[in-house]
Amino acid sequence: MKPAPIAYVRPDTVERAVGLLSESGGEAKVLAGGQSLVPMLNLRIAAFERLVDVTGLPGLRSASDEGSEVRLGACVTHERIQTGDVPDPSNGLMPSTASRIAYQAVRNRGTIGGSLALADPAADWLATMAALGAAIEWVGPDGPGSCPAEAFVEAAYTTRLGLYDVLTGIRIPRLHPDARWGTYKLCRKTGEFAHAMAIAIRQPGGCRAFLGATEGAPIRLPAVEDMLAGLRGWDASDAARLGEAMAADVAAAGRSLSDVHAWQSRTCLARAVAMSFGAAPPRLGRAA
Amino acid sequence: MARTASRNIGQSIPRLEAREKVTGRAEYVHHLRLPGMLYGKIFRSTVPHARIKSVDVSAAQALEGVYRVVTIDDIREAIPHPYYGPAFHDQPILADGKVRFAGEPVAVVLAADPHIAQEAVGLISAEYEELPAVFDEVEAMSSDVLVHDVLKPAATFPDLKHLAGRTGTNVALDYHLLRGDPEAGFAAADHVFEHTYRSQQVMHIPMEPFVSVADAADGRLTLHTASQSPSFVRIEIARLLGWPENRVRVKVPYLGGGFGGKLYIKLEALVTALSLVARRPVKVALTMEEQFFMVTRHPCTFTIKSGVNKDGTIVARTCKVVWNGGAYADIGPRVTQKAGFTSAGPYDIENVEIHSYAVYTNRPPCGALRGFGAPQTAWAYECHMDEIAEALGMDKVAFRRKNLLQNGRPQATGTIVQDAALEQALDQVADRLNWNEPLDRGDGRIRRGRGIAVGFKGITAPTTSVAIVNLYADGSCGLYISTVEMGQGSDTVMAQIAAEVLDMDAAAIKVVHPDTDVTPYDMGTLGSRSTFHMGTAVRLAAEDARKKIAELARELGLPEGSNLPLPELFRRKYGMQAGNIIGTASFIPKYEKPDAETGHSRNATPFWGVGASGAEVEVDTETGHYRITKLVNVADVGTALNPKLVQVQLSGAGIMQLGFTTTEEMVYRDGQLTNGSLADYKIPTLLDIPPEFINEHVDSEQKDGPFGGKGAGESTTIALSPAIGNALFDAVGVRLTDLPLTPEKIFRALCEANGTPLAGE
Repeated sequence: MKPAPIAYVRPDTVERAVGLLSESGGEAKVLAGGQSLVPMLNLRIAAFERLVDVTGLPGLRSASDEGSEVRLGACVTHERIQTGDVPDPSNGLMPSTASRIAYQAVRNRGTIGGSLALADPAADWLATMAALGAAIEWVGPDGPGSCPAEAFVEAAYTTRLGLYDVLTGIRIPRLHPDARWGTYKLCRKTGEFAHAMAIAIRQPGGCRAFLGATEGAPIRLPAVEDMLAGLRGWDASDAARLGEAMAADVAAAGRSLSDVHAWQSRTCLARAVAMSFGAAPPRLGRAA
Repeated sequence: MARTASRNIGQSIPRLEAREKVTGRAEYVHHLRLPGMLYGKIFRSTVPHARIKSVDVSAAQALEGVYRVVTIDDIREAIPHPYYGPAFHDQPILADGKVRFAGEPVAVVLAADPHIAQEAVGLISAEYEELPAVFDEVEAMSSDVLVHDVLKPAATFPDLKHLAGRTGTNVALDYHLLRGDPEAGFAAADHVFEHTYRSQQVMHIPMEPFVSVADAADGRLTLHTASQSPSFVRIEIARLLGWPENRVRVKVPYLGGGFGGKLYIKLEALVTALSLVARRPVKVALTMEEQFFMVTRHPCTFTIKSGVNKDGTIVARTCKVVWNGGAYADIGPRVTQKAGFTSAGPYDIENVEIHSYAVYTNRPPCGALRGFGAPQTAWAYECHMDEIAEALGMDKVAFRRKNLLQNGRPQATGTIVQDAALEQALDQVADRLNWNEPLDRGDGRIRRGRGIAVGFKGITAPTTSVAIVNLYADGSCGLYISTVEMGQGSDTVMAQIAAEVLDMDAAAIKVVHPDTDVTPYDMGTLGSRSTFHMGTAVRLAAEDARKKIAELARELGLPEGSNLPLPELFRRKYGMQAGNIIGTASFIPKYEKPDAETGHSRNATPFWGVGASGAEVEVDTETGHYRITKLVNVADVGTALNPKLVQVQLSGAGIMQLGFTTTEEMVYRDGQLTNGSLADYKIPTLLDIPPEFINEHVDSEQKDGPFGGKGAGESTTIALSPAIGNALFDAVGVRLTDLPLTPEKIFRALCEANGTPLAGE
């Protein structure tokens, strides 16, 4: 199918973009890489009167290394993160994550800001940015705003962004040089969204652990983080304790996972933690 | 096969239509616009089973640009008995007082602009009195919920006549076969095994969704339609209208895939009615999503029981196969019978009993889909074979080989098997899998395994093909056939056959596409039948033309064997470049319909479709995720008339069945389809093709086929699913009985096997 007729504008200032959104009274939608929005328009699951293309806004496609943190414009593509075309504050976590998003055609056009703003619970950047302690920045009718990535998502497809706000960039603090990370996700088909995902970061001054691909916001795992801080190595026998900590964290967050999903999340988490200690996770389909 | 070199047969001649297709010039019905044409958009039922209290079309009718809104009452003015179908006349052109599945067409908006028509559809509302509904085929066998009050078999199939007027049942057809004495066989057997397996509902997903255009005027009708069976469409439309066939013209250009979906009669009845009502040409083109409500593949529950002796000889087998036909029979009763009679598998078993049932439910209708039921039955009997071999501690290949039907032996119907290379196909798969070499089974979390399966299918019978070879005065040739080129390469193969007889180049032959005013009858492009049936008709028609050339030469007084070019013959006969030589032939293979009581037949099928598959898998035991690292499909296609086309038929069918095995399933909640779009219903992409993907044919010959050939379109759908299911068992020791084979099911089964079952959903 093709989308219903729709107006398209590509403003050259953020203020103009916000103005265009405001004057449309909710009938306009921000277009970045279009890798989710355009298929939804084509399937006519979504319908808008106007698309406001933000890829021409100053600074949205640039990146800057500010020493203790890196700022990425919202329209930086997965491909540029994957290939190192933008500075990496994450000791390789972000390029690795980017390289496993969908497939190459999506990575070529899809953007980190678009992915965050859509807030599909299974998207990679939601959990990754939360785990890295990033901050999301936007500009709206009331001026600029920002919040920690961890607090950005309120529910599936629902974020702190107001109807007329434009996500402009992400500030990502630089990981400690000694920080070690691991990440693992399960996808049923090549290029599909994940249905279970975990990230673990061990670093001096505070470990971080998150589950992604839940039915809502990424779930932070404080008990797991405490456990990670005390681990000196990974042994398969630690998995049971890790699973218990994860279960306690999920319950404490007021969330629940179905039985298979809980086990798959637990396996992802164990593999992510093991990976942070240098153990390559098992991968299927490698030529024997 | 020692065969003298031919420039046509056995050559991978490029598709005749390749250039047209890659340059975007090929003709499809979706491109067609007729002057004054209206577009129809369909308002569909939102409930699975209900009486319609009222349909309010006033707001839709009032929308500017809407030509007319049509319901069954309007259609009845043009067609007094608006019920159609190939096996049963049970399907109303639009819902008639009742709806029987969620998604059933209830009304149509006509407008010159399809977008306006679509918008108006959103303005229609219907009030329903909901009725209890039944969705599961086994429940429907004995349910009080009746999908139809009375059975209405069509006259097309004489063996369904006895069902006319039957009430109080959802069973549309029951087929039975009895050979020997299974009860005595079980009593005498050393072991008895019984298992139940299920297949899910899936859809064809042709790249070109259903589309038909009707142009009715002055007591004549022209249909331009994406149909696999133009001759059947003409017959059924003529019946609906009470017109002679010669007033109905059905034209089919290329099809963008059919896979059994675009068979018999689908949108054609609706567009015909709409064009008659509106007195304008009308086009209805479904969206990809609407296709889920047109026709699908039967879900199936199959209970199979075998008596086996210690040495591995199967002495008795009973099969109870229940087919979920959905709300309208379509060709389901034929699936029930055709896949029913082979449901004991390609094995030589003395005592066999088969009961196969077509059952109505409140789901979208089910019909033919690449394999015509054979993949569902093979899923059961080939998993069952592995479970038996496992229990007996026998090698899976050796156990099959021991019981395999050999040529010259009677199949369950009594038909003597001929030209079925079952053992060759099985052996070739085993060879490609290095079956006799040990497999690296992995350790720790990743486990490897391999599986094998073999199956067969009977071919729809009796069916007829007619061909016309027309030699023009300049010596060039037109081939007039109603076989539909839907991507399988039939134009090329038919041209090769004609060219071989006429000693021409295939590429020089013009294949005239189906147009019932021009091309002769063909039963349909379906069930792997075209190469064998139409191929034979084409060969005979070309031979008829040759005979007429020889007669012409004799008439002109030329010596026997004179090699005068055809244009010169015409010039001598007519004094100028003029005239035609027309060769014609029809072909219907030998067939004996099964005995109503015993299911026996001495000639149950024109030939046997044979496919064997093997798979190697890796399973992540902590997640249930798996990868198929190697997939082998081997088919018996007789002589490969065009090896490249055979190759792509085998791989294409394999990829399709791979989707039906791993991811595809129509999922329902309260009778509502919840994943009816390609955003949610996942089909394989190039990235899902196993890294080692081998598709081959065995060296064989179908002796009564054209130049030794037979059908190739379905063979690799048959055994693929059980090969993968068996490989998963081999890898991790859990047996999945229900398709599709999802990681969640494997993980659940692994937890169960480890004594730590999950709580359940």
